[in-house]
Amino acid sequence: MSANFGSNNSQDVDINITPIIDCFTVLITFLLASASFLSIGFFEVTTPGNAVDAAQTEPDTELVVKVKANQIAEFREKGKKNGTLRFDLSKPESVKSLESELDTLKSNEYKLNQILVSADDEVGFESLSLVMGHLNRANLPVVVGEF
Amino acid sequence: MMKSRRRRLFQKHKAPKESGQMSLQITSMADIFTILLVFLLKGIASDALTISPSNGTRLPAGLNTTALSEPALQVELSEKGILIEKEFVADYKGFEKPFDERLSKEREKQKLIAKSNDTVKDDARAILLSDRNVPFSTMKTVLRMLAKNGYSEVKFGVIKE
Repeated sequence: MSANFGSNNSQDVDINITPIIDCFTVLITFLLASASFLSIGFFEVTTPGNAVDAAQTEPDTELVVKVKANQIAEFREKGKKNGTLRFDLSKPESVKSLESELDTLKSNEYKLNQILVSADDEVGFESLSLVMGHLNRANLPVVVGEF
Repeated sequence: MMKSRRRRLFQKHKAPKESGQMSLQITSMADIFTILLVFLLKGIASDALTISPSNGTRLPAGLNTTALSEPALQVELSEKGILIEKEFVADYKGFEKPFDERLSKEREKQKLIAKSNDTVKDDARAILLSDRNVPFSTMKTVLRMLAKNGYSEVKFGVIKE
């Protein structure tokens, strides 16, 4: 008995991959249909009366942000810095001045340690999320409720 | 010997018989499909904490968001009504009572699990997926009820910008 490794009897072996392709097509279609391509991010907020850490250290300045219709954010500052400022978030220069105002309030001079956010009753979540996105830049705890 | 070799060479180069059978070259397609399949399966495996809103909810876009690290109670404010853990609870007309009852049920369930399992703790976190058109008056009530039932840390879900 001898093994014949010669090329005389060589045969071309074709693997039938058609059923594999069928399975793959079904699987890929299913996975593509069930996949979610939206990436969801989150705003962390606390409800009023539960921001314990912020309440323990008395802030020098209190900031209440009231979201109005037409993408307007109203800053009501109390304490070391007093006053009301309005920012139109549809204008880039207004967004910049909002951010610089937040930086000022966060500084050692005013020691802002939390942001209280409220809105008019008819204001939708879309406007609120727009304002919160800019406020989150300050990296301070955000309390959402009625103030 | 020489003759048979020449014949074989000649056979190799002569035109193929027109048998009427066509075979598609699908090996490359199989390769592409394999890569796609691996990519999709990998995506599913890594997104274990993927949260998705139901069909009637259109989330707004938001800047400076954070990622979700741990799962929490999912409350959804869709266009038609309120859902807890993807189960419809009530529409917006007089939703307070059924919503409150359902929340306290969820809380009790959590406490019961925490009692028998030391690794599970009372969780004060909730995820709020709200439609972009839901007014703040509704959100305010929902937040108040969440706080009343011990859910004081709320995460608002938005689409990353």
